Amino acid sequence: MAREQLKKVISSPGAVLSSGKSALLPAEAERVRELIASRHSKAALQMAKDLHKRCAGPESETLLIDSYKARIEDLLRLKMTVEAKSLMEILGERFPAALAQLGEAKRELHALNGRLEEVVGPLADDSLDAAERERIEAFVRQRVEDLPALATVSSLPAEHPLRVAAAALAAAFQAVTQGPVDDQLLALPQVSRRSPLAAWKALVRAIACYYRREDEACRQWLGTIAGDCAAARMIPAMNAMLGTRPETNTGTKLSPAEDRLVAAAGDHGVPLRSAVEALETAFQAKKRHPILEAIRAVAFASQRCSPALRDRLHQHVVARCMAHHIPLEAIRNISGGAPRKDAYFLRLVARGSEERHSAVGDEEAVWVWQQFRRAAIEEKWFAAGGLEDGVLALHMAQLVEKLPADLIEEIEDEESWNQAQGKRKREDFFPSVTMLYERACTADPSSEAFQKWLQWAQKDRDWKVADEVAERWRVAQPTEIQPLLHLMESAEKRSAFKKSLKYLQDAEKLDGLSPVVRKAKVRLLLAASFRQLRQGKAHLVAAEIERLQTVPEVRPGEIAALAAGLRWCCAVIDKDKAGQEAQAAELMESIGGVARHMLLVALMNEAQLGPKAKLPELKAFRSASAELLAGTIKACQLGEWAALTMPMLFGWSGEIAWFLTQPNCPADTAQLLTLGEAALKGSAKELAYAASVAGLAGGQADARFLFLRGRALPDWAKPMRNGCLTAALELARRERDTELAGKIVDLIGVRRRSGYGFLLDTDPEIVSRPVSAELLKAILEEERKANKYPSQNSTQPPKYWPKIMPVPPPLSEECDCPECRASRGEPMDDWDEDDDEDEDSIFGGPSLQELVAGVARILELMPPDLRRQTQEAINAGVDPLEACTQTIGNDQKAAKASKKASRIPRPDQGILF
Amino acid sequence: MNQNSPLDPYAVLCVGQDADDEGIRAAYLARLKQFPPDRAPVQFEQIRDAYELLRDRRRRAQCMLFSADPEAPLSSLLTGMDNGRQYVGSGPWLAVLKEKN
Repeated sequence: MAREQLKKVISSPGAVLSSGKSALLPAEAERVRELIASRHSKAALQMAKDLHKRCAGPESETLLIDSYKARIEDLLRLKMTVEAKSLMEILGERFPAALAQLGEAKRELHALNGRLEEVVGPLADDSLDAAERERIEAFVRQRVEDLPALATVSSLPAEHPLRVAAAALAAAFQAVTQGPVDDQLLALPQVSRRSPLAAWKALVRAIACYYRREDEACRQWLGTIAGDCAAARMIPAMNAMLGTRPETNTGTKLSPAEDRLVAAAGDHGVPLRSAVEALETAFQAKKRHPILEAIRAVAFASQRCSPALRDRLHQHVVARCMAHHIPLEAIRNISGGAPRKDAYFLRLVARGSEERHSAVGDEEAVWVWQQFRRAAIEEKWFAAGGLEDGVLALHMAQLVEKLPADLIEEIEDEESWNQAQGKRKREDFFPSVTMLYERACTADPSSEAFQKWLQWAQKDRDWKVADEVAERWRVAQPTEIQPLLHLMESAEKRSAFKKSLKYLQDAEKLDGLSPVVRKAKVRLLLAASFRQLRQGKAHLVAAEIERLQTVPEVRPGEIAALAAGLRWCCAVIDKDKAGQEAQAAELMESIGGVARHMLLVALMNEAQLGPKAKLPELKAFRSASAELLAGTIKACQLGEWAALTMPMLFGWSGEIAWFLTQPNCPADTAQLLTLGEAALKGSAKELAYAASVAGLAGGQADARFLFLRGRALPDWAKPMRNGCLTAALELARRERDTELAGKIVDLIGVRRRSGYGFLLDTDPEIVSRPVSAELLKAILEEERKANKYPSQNSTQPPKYWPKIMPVPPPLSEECDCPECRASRGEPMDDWDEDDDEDEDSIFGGPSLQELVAGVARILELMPPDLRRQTQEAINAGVDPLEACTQTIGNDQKAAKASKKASRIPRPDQGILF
Repeated sequence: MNQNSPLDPYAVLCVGQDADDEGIRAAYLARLKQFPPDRAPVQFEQIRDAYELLRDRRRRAQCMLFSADPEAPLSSLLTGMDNGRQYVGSGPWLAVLKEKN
């Protein structure tokens, strides 16, 4: 009732001011009862007093007593025990009979005052009214939580069932919360089912099940506890500890004491582990919706973990989602915000980008590593310019090196524009390879770092770039021979022989016995000699020959042979026939006719003697294949050592090749490899192939012979080439032959960087994939059997080819149209708007004549391999335009799509995360 | 080695990531005493490999920078996390009852 109305009622003259006794009006009684019902007990009591004063009848007395009762109850509810007690005493004085109606209030007062003995005392009386007993027991069930106090209450005898039950329960409660208990303790025969403390028995058993991890049993015991029992106060906290999700609870927020209990005794491990396992399963299934739901579960389960663990988990989850191309907005909404972007997180993301093994991934990785570096220096992981900084810079340099040239160009254009606009700080620019290598070599001036820098610089057209790097290396590591060798070779290429020899002398001072230095010396002296011979200055060659003869030999007679060969060239220029014959005879004696012939031809070519020279006669050795082979090998070994390109005896290549395949072939592994490499250099691919046949039959150095074979195969034998190179790389990796592995990777890299996707005759992705032992064995077995050089008409793809050819990706179940992709939050491709089909529908299709002309033009522009492939497809009945599209159009689209898809925006395009 | 896996070299040698050369060597020797090669060959090999990795500053730097595995099982982050359900005595339980009284 409104306060104004209330005042009106109180102050109405009819109720209060009239003197003399009068009957209680029903309306007045009703008013009082309304006040009682609306908990305005104070006003009700006042009114009732006034009415009783006026009426003094039994009805008013009843009304007054009820008002007193209501007021006492309200005071007790407000825990105003003193006031409640006073009022009870007043009531008892004025209306003693009314006290009997205040049983509940009295019990409540006693309970609040901790006077349990007053509450339960009446139970000691066996003659206690059953209804009263029931009321007291209900009170105990609903309100009493202090079991030890109940167990020692003095108003009940010690053997009273309530005391006995309370004692047993108190002991069991203590035990079950302190450690494991056995079932005997939980039996609690002292507590009957009808006991007011029965709910406590269920609670104790529930707690025991909780600690035993019998969650289902725990929930069942909690379910048996009535909601109005004192023991039921524990249920919300226990549900939280059992990991029941909050949306299934009513009144979900926990009180401070409940929070503390859950934090101390709650189980954070199992729910979180389960949620994490479910998330792992979702990631493996690669379906976005289940992944997001699983993340939600992990976020919930990790709420009660330590903040450090929660943050770490969050970071890992986000990094994984980025690898799965899940939009960050979606994750942020359900995981409670962005992850902490510290060095740890950035490192994870960078590694994740690298693991994509794509140009886009590598570019993203470089950006992120840049941010990582800044964060790591700030967080004191390492110092700027320290060793770690150098190692990181080296790694980043190699990532940037792998990026395709057109992507680098695009980045450089963008950086120039940003620089012109002043949009970005210098430190935020995409780092160049030069800058990274400089940083790497400054921070960590190691041979490895300089070697890599030099390798990169050597690819530059300008020799000064590489020379500058070599000079810096030389300054940083004066005892290192590699930079000197580079500088020497660089000068030699420019025909600056004096400079080259100067570097050679410095290298000899460091390590004169090094085979590399010795080889270089021979090569340099020969190069100088050849220049002089080309200039017709035969008289100057003598000095070079003299110096040449001081070089220690690898194989006896080789230096002498070279010297004799050079003297023969000099004799040719001087038109000294006797001299020519003498040198020719000396060579015949030292290296034999075949080797002599090959050596003189090689020297003639280098010295450009042309028609002036007449070679000594070379007799045919058709019947002495062994001698032919031995001579050729000797010449090839000499050529390898002296860096001379030995001409192959094409007329006898077949003979030699045949002899190589014979079981009594005397050539060892090293000789076969030398012969094979020389044959490749001399464009005698079939001879090189024959060397690989002999080598593979021997069973040693299989990796090198497969590498040799891979390069010796004709261009159209792509499957076999891929197979050989794949197996060679795998074997090199297994044998830890890093030199060979590097050569194979370089070979693939050179072809890849050609930029002409459809001209690749090697698939880098196939070749560089790991290979199982079984597949490796299959490749080796088949290649060992392939004794004949493949011919286009008769050769089928190898049997192992289906196992190593690229597997097309499974068709996605999701629609790939721009609208559907946009609704999934995927980035749009630049060429989504370039839909040629729309244009066709607007402008109409081409005429048949135009089609035919167009196809013919396309075929003209194609390289031979692709043209042949397209023609075969057309002959097989494929639509001409479709055949062209399949061979060219899809390659380009796929290359573009892989470049553009899922690119993380660069810092100037907005927040990275 | 994966920094999130049990074969993390720092975990094998029981050193922090900020340990210097001396600290790493001392930890290595201590671990060798615990796991001599004749009695614990597997652990000995792990300890030796971990030391080989960490004694070289460059390799140590590479380990620190590049061994993080974004695809590492998330459960590896929970290693060492206590399984909860600790016995805390009756106090916290009774506090809940009293609070709601």
